[in-house]
Amino acid sequence: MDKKKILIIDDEENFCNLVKKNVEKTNEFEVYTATNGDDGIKLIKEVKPNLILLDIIMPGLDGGDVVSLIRNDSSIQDTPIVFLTSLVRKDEAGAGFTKGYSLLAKTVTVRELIACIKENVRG
Amino acid sequence: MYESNIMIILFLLIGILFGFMLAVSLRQKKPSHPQEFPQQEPIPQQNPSYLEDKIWYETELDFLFRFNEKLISAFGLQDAVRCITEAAHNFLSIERTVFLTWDKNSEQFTLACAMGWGRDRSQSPLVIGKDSISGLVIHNRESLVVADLSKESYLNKLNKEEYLQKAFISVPVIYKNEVLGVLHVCDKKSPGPFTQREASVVMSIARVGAITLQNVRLYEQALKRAEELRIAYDELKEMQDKLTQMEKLKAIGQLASGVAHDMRNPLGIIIQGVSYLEQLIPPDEKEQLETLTMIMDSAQRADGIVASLLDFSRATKLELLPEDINSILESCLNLVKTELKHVKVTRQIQEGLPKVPVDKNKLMQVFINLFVNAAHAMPGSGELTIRCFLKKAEEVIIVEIEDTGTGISEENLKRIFDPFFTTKGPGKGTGLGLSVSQNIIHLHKGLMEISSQVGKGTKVSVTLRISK
Repeated sequence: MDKKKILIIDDEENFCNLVKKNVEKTNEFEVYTATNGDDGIKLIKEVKPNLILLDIIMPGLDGGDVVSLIRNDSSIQDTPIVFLTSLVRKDEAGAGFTKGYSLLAKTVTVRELIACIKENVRG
Repeated sequence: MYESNIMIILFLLIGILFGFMLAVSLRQKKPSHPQEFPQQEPIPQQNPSYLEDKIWYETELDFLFRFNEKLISAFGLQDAVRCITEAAHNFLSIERTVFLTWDKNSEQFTLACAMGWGRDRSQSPLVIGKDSISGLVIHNRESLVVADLSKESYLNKLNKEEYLQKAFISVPVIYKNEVLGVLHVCDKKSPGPFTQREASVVMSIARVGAITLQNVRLYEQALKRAEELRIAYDELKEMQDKLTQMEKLKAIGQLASGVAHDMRNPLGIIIQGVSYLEQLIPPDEKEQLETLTMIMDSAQRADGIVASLLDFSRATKLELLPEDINSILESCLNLVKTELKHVKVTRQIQEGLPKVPVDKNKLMQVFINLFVNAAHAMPGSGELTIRCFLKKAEEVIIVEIEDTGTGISEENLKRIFDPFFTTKGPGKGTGLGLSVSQNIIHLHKGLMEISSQVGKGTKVSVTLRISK
């Protein structure tokens, strides 16, 4: 069975690398990383991920800009997105955010992160 | 020419004659106007001997001197009025003496002091209008000496004042142009009408008394004004303190979102890194695993502090919906029942309260914080009383959370809502709980107040408005 592709776009390179290591440990996912919005868009088109983990506050293209680009491109517009942010409490994550998107706190545990990925991944 | 002069002289003479007749008729009609005194019966003049005269003046002088001494030491308006009434009553040996004070705004007299005449305490305070003998006295600003009231038909047309029965002296108490009241001295114990000498003593008492009364009034007005100023100053100071506090909270709120973002990123890396290492270390390497657990716990605690800070930055928008405060309190109690297991919980809840527009989640955060604080204040055992009731007139619901815990010192109480101020030990509290809670209640346009006594306990009172 093919591994599902997860793309994480976050300007914190160390965070991206650790998330990659932890998620890939499950042997269920293949994780790609991008540390800015432009690289992220390129990778989305190239890799066609089953789920995007997207930071909101980034230099250059931020999370909101990346979402607009994705939703306006018919080839990738249906890709599910989970926002990663430092601006929510952990207990608020996943609830009451903009319809159609999930939300995760940056300080989420690995267990919670993987549960969220499994819930939202498509394909 | 000669004839016309005679005519003019004739007309003038006729005019003078009519004028004279009119004047006579008007003089006869007096006192038809109720606001004027009639010609009074002349006060009988005695023909005292030189010795009697001397004794009288010496007695009068001595009395007025002692009266003056006593009046100077009078404390307050009531004391001064009593001093004046007593002086008139005792000097002349009479049946009744009454002092009425005059209120120019309501144009009414009020009984201020009476001797020899009493009223049932259950009766309402005596108030007399200006259509009375007292009113006439202050209208004319002249003393009135009456030998027999029954013979003075013009006075009997006025409203009855029951202490004025037969003979009396009524003196207006006036300071400069301001009328302060009326002093009535009624019915001598010895037979006969009041004499001119007696009337002049009462007038002297009223004159001296008026000066003191005015001074006392001014002093009391100054005291009242000083008290009003003190209250206004206190209110202003309290308002200024609140504004300073709000400014402080606003600044922290702005800072918080920036700090949260900058702190959360490294915290996320630590948490992800520790999780990764945990998977690499074999289960029998307990020491290494314990070390990682310690790092993880600390990272989670730091995350908790950042979460509290975030409440400042984001607590600017509420999602208000009509909620039942009693159910919110119950849900919160349910959530913290483990923390409260050693505590007796007493509910004094008013049923059927109206729903209140609140942000349920934020209000729950406040109540949970208060319950947990109460539980921490009662480490061994204690009682937590929760009251919830409606104040209909003020259209508010009050929630009181009272514990029998250790209490908070006066010094700490002043800083209790300051961000990062905590009475808990190092690492046990962020010092943000109460300041966040107060911020949330302020956003609801409510009030949060706290009172405490060391060793007795603490009471937190939350006031929420029923309407938006």
